[in-house]
Formats: sequence, structure tokens, C-alpha cells
Amino acid sequence: MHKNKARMHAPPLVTHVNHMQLQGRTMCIDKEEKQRLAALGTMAGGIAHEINNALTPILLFSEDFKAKLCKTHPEYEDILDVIINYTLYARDIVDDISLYSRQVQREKEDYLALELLSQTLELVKASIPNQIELSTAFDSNLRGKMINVNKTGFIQVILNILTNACQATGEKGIINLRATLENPHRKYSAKTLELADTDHLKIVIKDRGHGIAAEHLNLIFDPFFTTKNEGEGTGLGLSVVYGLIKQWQGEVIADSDGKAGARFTIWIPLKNEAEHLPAPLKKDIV
Amino acid sequence: MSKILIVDDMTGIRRSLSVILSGCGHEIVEAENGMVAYTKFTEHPTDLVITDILMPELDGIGLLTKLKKLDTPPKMIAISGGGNKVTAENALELAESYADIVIKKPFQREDILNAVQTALAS
Repeated sequence: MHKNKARMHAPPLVTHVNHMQLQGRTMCIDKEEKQRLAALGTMAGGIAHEINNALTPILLFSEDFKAKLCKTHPEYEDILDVIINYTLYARDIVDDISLYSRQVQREKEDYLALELLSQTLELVKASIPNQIELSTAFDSNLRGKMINVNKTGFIQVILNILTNACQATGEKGIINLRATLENPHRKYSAKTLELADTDHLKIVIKDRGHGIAAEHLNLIFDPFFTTKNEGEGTGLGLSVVYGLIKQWQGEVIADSDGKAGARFTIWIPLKNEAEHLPAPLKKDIV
Repeated sequence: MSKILIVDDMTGIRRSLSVILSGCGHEIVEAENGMVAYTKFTEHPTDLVITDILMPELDGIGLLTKLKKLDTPPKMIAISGGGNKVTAENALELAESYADIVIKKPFQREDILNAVQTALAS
């Protein structure tokens, strides 16, 4: 409780450390990261095609055998489930690699921030177990404000973070999602954050799960880093989140109070009011 | 039950679809590319065509376009796992204008059974 109160005034130390590490990454993402992603994208396209094709008959035959054979030979059901589950896991890995590698190619468009967030939550609701409550709060100041993002990417960002929050929460619990309009320069040390001195959409997603160990905080956005059990995650989800938000000139910050849960804070710049106006009016202002 | 033409350049995919759908009582015809498929279809029309998108000779889009121009086109399902220069999503987005249903590879048994049922009922 005391810790939470302190956080209202100053960012916790672990968050600051993470900012510094992310800042270092930001500097090189434009050059090496983009080249690496472009090369990976070309390679991943070819690999995805071959693997997706190869997995299709494996999956279809395994499920067909299960449907037909297990009626008379139930002892094979477990074995076929292993084949099916590992095939689906391989499919997820291919999807995640394709998604990760395509980050450089995603087109951006203007969206009303609140509208997009509401649509996204409607879509991702199906992925949240019934016994986990998603409590949301939206700042009315965000009405009419626009963000420039890729819609599919935005959905993926929220979905990936919520999926992690659900897994950390376990069978029952509450996840809070709060969206506000804030200028990061007025709240935190914006120079550290490298964000523009403008209004931003700030989304905070907080769970009360097992939290993130301090030594993992600077690794969670790295590709293939995962603390999940075998078969539960590919370790690409948060690196996709990080790459997408960087494309939108935003920032994502993770912090955790040890075992009291994890908090992800997303900053996405809002478009200037003048940019919303039709061309002739925009010209008049200039 | 219905007559279904399965078009894919990968034998394993044709074979697995064939086993599953013939198991449901459908009559199956197979073709390894769009050109062979179109010839087979014009000789012996089918109720439904399930076709891959990226194939040699005549690709799935070419086949769907030709079939769509016929007086009585069949129901059509497009399947794709993408390719070297095009993602599965992009290939299927393109196919959406022609096919009744599109499915991304690898798909599950229930996915194809539901798609076939829906396409034939439409």
C-alpha cells in the first residue's frame, strides 16, 4: 500500500533502470534492428510458407486419426494429443516469427483513440477467461483525440499484454486497464523516456499476478526471452509489442513490485489538433 | 453428398483433405495445380473447389477467376500458408474477392469440415 502511494509521485527505481536500458536500445533500433528485421522478414516469409504447408497434413491426419481410431483404440488418444498440441505450438511459433519480422512493413492510419481501444477490448474479451475480471477506466479528455497506429498491431499489443496478465493472474482475479490523456514531460522525466513534449494516450495495464523478477525486467522485451513453461509461449509476444510501439513513436515500460503483480505502461503520441483539420483550414492556421 | 475438387501442389495436403472429406461421404477429385484443375473441372464439374493460392502453372487466383466466369461457378474455398514474397494474410485477402471462404494453413480438421458445410449450404 505504502509502495503504491509512493509511486504516485515518482517512478519506482526498477522502472527507471528499465528506461535507461530501453533508451540504449532505442538508439540502435533505427539502424541495425531495422536491417535485421528486414532480412528476417524475407527469410521468415519463405520459412512460414514451407512450415505452414508441412504442418497442414500432420495436423489434419493426426486429428482425423484421433476422431476415427480412438473410438476403438482409446490408448492412442494421449499420443495423438501430443502430436496435435506440438503441431499447434509450431504453428504459433511460425505466426509469431512472421508477426515479429513484419513489424517494419505495417501501414499506419489515424484512429480515434477511445474508439479503437473500445473496439480492441471487444475483440480481445473472448481471450480473457470468464473468472478474470477486466476493469477498465477511460479518461473523457481522450474524446475526439486521434492516434496514428496500425490497427492490427494495436490489437496485437493489447492482446499480448493482456494474455500475459491473464496467465500471471491464474484462474481468478482482476486486471485493470486505464487509459488517460497525459503529457509524459509533466509526469515523469521525459528526457529519459525520449518521448515528445505533447499529449499522449497513456494506457496502464496492471495485474495482481506473480509479478516480474527484477533481473528479468530488462530482458522481457528481448526476442525469445520467456519465463513461461514449455509450450505456453514463444517469447516473441512482448518483443512484438516493443517493436510496434516504437514504430508509433511511443514507449512501453514494465515495472513490478516483486510478487504484487506487474504493470505495463504504454505511451502513444496523440495527433496535434491542427492535423485533424481539413487541408484548407490547416493552411489558414499556418 | 457432394463432389469436391481439391487443388494443391503438395501431395500430403491433397491426400489429407481427401481422406477427411471422403470419410464424410464426399466424392473427391484431386489436381496438382490450377491448370490441371481447370481442365478436370470443365470435363467433370464439381460442387465445390478447394484450392491453394500459390501454385505453379496456374495459381489459385487464376483458377478462381476462370471458375468465377463460368455460367454456373462452383462454391470455392481458398487455402494458403503464404509464400516467399507474399504472406498468407495477403494471399487470402486477395482471394476473398473470389472465394466463398478463405482459410489460413495450417488449419484443423474442424475448420475444413465447417468451411465445406458452410460453403455447400450457401
